[in-house]
Amino acid sequence: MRRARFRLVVDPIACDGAGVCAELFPEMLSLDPWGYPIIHGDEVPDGLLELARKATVNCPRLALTLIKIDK
Amino acid sequence: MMYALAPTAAAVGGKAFWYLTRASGVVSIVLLSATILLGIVASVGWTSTRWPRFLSQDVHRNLSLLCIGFVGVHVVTTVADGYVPIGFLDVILPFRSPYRPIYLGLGALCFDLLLAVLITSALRHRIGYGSWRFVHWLAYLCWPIALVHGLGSGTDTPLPLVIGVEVVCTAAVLAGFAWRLLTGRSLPITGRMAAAVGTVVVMLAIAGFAVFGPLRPGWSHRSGTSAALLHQLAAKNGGTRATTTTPTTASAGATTTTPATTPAAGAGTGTTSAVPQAPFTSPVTGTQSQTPADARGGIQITLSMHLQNAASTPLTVVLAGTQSNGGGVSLSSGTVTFGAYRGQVVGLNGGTITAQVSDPNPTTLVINLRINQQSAAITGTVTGTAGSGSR
Ligand code: SF4
Repeated sequence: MRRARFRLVVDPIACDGAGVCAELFPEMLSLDPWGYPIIHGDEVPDGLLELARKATVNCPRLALTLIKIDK
Repeated sequence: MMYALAPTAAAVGGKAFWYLTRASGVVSIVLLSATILLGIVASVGWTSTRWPRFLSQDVHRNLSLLCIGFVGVHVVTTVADGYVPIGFLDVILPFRSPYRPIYLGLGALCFDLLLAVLITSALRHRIGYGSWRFVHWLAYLCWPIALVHGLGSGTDTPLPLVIGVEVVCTAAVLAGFAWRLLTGRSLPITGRMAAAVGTVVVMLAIAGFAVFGPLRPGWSHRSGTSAALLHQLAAKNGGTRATTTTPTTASAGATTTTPATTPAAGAGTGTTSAVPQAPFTSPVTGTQSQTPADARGGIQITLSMHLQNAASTPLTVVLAGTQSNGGGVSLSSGTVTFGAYRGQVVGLNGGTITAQVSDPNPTTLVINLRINQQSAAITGTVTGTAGSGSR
């Protein structure tokens, strides 16, 4: 059985553009000119999962989540 | 386990719990203040090149956990100390402890709020942003409640160090709160004004409470502890003393004097010149001792005091009463010896003893006492007015 695979999702309504996530996880996140995150890439590589989780946990608006990729 | 520990704790480590309780209480309010400040820094979103935003959040979270740890120590040692009857239920359910019910109740309330904030934060992703945020607002409420709890139930409130710590914490939290209100994006201006006015009112009320409540002598009697429990505590102090001097059990034998005090001796040798002329107000210090109950439950409480600026003249109050089966004491009469003055206690109200004495000029003494339940030490003030004045 393969390990679970994840990707990052931003809830654009909840996100307030504060940018904590991009500070914590620049590997896959950068900010657009208004401070809202842009996600680079789809699946979070295994080696970066821990960092991605830390970014989601620290999002003050709970706008950033890791969701499982089916199959 | 607790039962096995209890006798040892009472004999040896009783004081250790007591010190731990007080220390962890003070540390908790400092940590709570720091946690709130960092929470504000995180929510305002302040950041610099040396201090990224996630750092505020990380430190805020870790400090809050540390704070909860200290609150845990505070709570457990309070219960384990066992000097005053506080049970584990009193920790959760506010306002039901017999000892300083309101102020301990505020502590319990604060503990409940902290638990709510902790649990909702742990479940943040499940309960959703709205409810998490709502509960998290309660954390602000926690702080003034914790402060009043500390002021009202702490026995160290008048210590300069403790006052200093509380003033610094208050200033820091108020500054942070002002900053939060000035930069708050999510609240309408009216809401922020209301919060500012509310904060000022609450802080003035707390300051007034501190000055007229715990920082004045006699607080232990005014803080809502039932009279029966206070006497029980006083009896505990007296009891331990009595057993060290008389190897019999507390219930046996009516000893009429305790070695610590000899009420009659002071009168004979007292230098009358050192007794101030009424009217006067002077601080007093001294110790309290108590004889074990005799066969009919009769006991005698002796308060041996000295005026700080007339150290040679003892002021001795001997209160006589009977001990009920429930452990409470009802005091029936009292005599006062102060230099050449002799007289009777005419009023006993909380920490205030009123006595009519004469030398033979009639004089009224009003003694405001604060008795330290741990050491049986007395501090207070005595006021003398000429004549058999009212009040
Ligand atoms: S941390 Fe959350 S709220 Fe802030 S920019 Fe990232 S996703 Fe948006």
